[in-house]
Amino acid sequence: MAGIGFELQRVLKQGGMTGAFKVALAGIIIVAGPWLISIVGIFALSRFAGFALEEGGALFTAAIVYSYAFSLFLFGGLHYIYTRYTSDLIYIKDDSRAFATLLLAMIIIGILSTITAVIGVYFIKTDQVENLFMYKIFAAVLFVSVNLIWLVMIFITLLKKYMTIFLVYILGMLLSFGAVYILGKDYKLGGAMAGFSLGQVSILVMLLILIRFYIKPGHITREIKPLASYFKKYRFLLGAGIFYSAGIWIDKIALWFYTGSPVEGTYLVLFEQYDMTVYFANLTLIPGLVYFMVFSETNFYVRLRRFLMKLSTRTFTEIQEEKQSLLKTMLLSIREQSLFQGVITFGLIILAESINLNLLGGLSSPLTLRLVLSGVFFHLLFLTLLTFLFYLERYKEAFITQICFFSINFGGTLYFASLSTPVYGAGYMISGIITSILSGLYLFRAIHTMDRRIFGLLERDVIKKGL
Amino acid sequence: MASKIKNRRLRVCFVLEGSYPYITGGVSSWVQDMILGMPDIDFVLFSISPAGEQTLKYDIPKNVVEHKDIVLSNLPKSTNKIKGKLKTLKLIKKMHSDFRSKAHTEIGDILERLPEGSYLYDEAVFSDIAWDMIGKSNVQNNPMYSFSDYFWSWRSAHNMIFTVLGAEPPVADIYHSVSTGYAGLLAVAAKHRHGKPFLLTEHGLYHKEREMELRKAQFLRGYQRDMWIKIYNGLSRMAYHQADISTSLFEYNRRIQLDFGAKEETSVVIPNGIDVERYSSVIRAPREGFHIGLVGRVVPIKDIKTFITMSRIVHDHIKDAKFYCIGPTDEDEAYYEDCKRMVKSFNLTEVFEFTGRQNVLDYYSFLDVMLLTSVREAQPLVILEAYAAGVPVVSTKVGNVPEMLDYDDRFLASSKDAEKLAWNVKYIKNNPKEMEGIIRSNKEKVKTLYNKNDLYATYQNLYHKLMEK
Repeated sequence: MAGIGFELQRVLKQGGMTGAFKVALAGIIIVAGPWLISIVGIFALSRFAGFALEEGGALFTAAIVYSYAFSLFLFGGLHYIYTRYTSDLIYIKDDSRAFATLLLAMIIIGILSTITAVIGVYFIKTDQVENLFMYKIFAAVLFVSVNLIWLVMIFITLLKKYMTIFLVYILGMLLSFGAVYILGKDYKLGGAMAGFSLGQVSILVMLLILIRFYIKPGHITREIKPLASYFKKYRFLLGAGIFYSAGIWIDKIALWFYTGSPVEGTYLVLFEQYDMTVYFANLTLIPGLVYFMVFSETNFYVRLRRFLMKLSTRTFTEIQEEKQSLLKTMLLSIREQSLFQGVITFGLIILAESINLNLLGGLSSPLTLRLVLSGVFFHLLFLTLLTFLFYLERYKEAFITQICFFSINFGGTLYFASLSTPVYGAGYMISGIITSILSGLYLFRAIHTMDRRIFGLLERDVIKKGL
Repeated sequence: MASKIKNRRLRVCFVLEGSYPYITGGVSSWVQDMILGMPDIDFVLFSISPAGEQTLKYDIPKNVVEHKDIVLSNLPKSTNKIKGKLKTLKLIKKMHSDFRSKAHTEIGDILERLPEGSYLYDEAVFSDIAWDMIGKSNVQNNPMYSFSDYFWSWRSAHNMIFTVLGAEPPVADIYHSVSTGYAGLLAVAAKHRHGKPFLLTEHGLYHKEREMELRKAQFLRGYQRDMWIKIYNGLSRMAYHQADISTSLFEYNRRIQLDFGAKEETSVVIPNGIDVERYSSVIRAPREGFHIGLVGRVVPIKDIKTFITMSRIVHDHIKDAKFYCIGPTDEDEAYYEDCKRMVKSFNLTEVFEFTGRQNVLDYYSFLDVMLLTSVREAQPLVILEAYAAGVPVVSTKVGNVPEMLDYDDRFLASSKDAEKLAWNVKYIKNNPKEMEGIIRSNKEKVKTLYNKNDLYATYQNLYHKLMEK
């Protein structure tokens, strides 16, 4: 996203409150537009179309939560390979091949997610829902469409059509709302599920039409082999993606099955106390993410580019100086970003009691909220470091850090939940701290040895070509 | 050890670089003669070539039982692991400081950790120690130039060393290298890997020849030139120090070898030898006019351009003079084209001939002067051949030539001094009576001091001496 960061920095340099407001708004739209719209949409549904959910609001929520959770938990790793491959095609300006790859990925993920969804909904058995079959069908449709939307979003984000995405989401959620309202009247929960899913399908279709408007797809089959080769070439990126995507959900999933309660009559379990805390705390990531996009990432990219440019023409001393500048810029960005995010997190930690009571309806506990807020702070930190590791193509190190994140989050969450007085959120926070430290060390080492590694890779390339 | 091979033939491995059997020239002819002259010994060829699939320029004798090539442009994949990378790299670091301080380098410990089939290409760049060495050396020696240039230069120099160090030497009783440089390093490695003696024979001085080429190379920048020179000097130093016996063609070169680390007690002078009978059998049949020939490859080191310039001067004074450049022209096509243009621009087309590869005996029968204009030589065989055939010689003062020409200024000239060379040629033309005596004495000298049969016997003795060690 470094490209859009330049644009926003330019607006910001014009000065004034209007500029800052524009940047903040655009930043929020870019980093969290669809996310916020979905939250607002779901909130509006429960508030204004509650009648449609009377048969089982929990079952409705479970379908949405499980769709998002397992779409990432199961297929998140594939997104990373797909992103890398598509980025490379867009870099060489081969948009039609990129579009063909999107369609190929949609077919693959579509098949896999359909199988998963069919198995998943097959075991939902409850007497509470009148139109259970309809519910099941559209819960499956929702899962598949969420999976496909992730892919389309990755593609369209690479094309930098942020405002269009935002508008499509608004329109999609309005359609969802309308469909739930209409279908929910006659078909109750089954209708509500159908309405919501159709809204998501409409988002998917609109995004695809939008892409087709700009690009004509190439031959899908031609992308199979090269895309498959990326799985081997970037196996550590795949691993990092799998463990990161699984890692961000594993604490919730662990608690669902360890402490959570089943949605009546089904095997689906939720743990609202923790889930709601995390969903709320995750919203506090937004300012930090905007800061990251506008400043940290952009500044890092500029310095990295300068370093790379100098590598082939400058003296060793100049190269080392440039490397030090990159390191300084990175440390400064992380410090500033952490300060910025820290102020927000700290403020919310102080207000935890009040937030729990007033915003979360007392569902959570101040301690859980504080731990999760701290966890989110470190999550942003290691996500930033992880992105920098990706910039430096240190996929193996990224993979190791994400295994740590996943394992510590999983193990820690279960450990603290098993205490006589269970503590929720500690595993997530500790995993964030340890992953941040580990990523930081790896990043520091990566920058320190960057020139050696680049020349070494060039050398290896030359050897491979037998020159 | 000698008893061990009583029941079988001795197996000597010639370690060669850029010469036999792919390139013609003095060293290559010497190797071919040695193999043919010692039919009781089995020879193995271990040659280093810049590129693969080269054409053989010699008929390989029957007693060559194995031929293995190392192609420097190929970077083979490691099939073996380096033992204790960190320690190995530390030893290599020490070896570099030894190179710098001109101390003797003990490469045995390094070779023990680098089994055959293990190559250092990756470790040399992907390790902190090695990168630190490259960086520091660059800052120290090349602070003003782009690091990238330095790196790639470093890479090409070192990758060749890594290829050589990881190579698998053929089995032999003795490793006989005919130069220092990469061939010398290969022989050192073979000696350590198989625990067999290493005999070093040098015709010229490898590091000096490379230095001369490097000083002329215009594409090298900054420290790159010094780096290459240091590498070649270091390789030579190592080879001299590690050789069980080192030989040179004449005393001056031996002195330089000693300065570079050869051991006094194992360093000997063995002059070249020729097939005296063959060249003495030439029946002289002088032709009309005055015939001047240069026997050698058309390459810059032979300085054919000075020969052409001299031809122009001589032609002005001796109208019936004819000039022959007798030797292959395909080794440096660009240089050959330059020479042809020069002949044309000097209006010598009618009297100057590039003969290509020929049987030199045909020319020795009628040549009046054999000319050598080389800028670098060791102990040129062509002088001995010409002497044996009864052809007087005029030459530049290079290598052992002054000694071979009895330091007689009437036949010697400084390098590139076409005027003096021309004066020498005219002297021979104008003093036929005096030349008769000189020709007779030259023939006698070759017969006594430079007989090839003596050379074979000397080397056979050396081989046996090494086996007895």
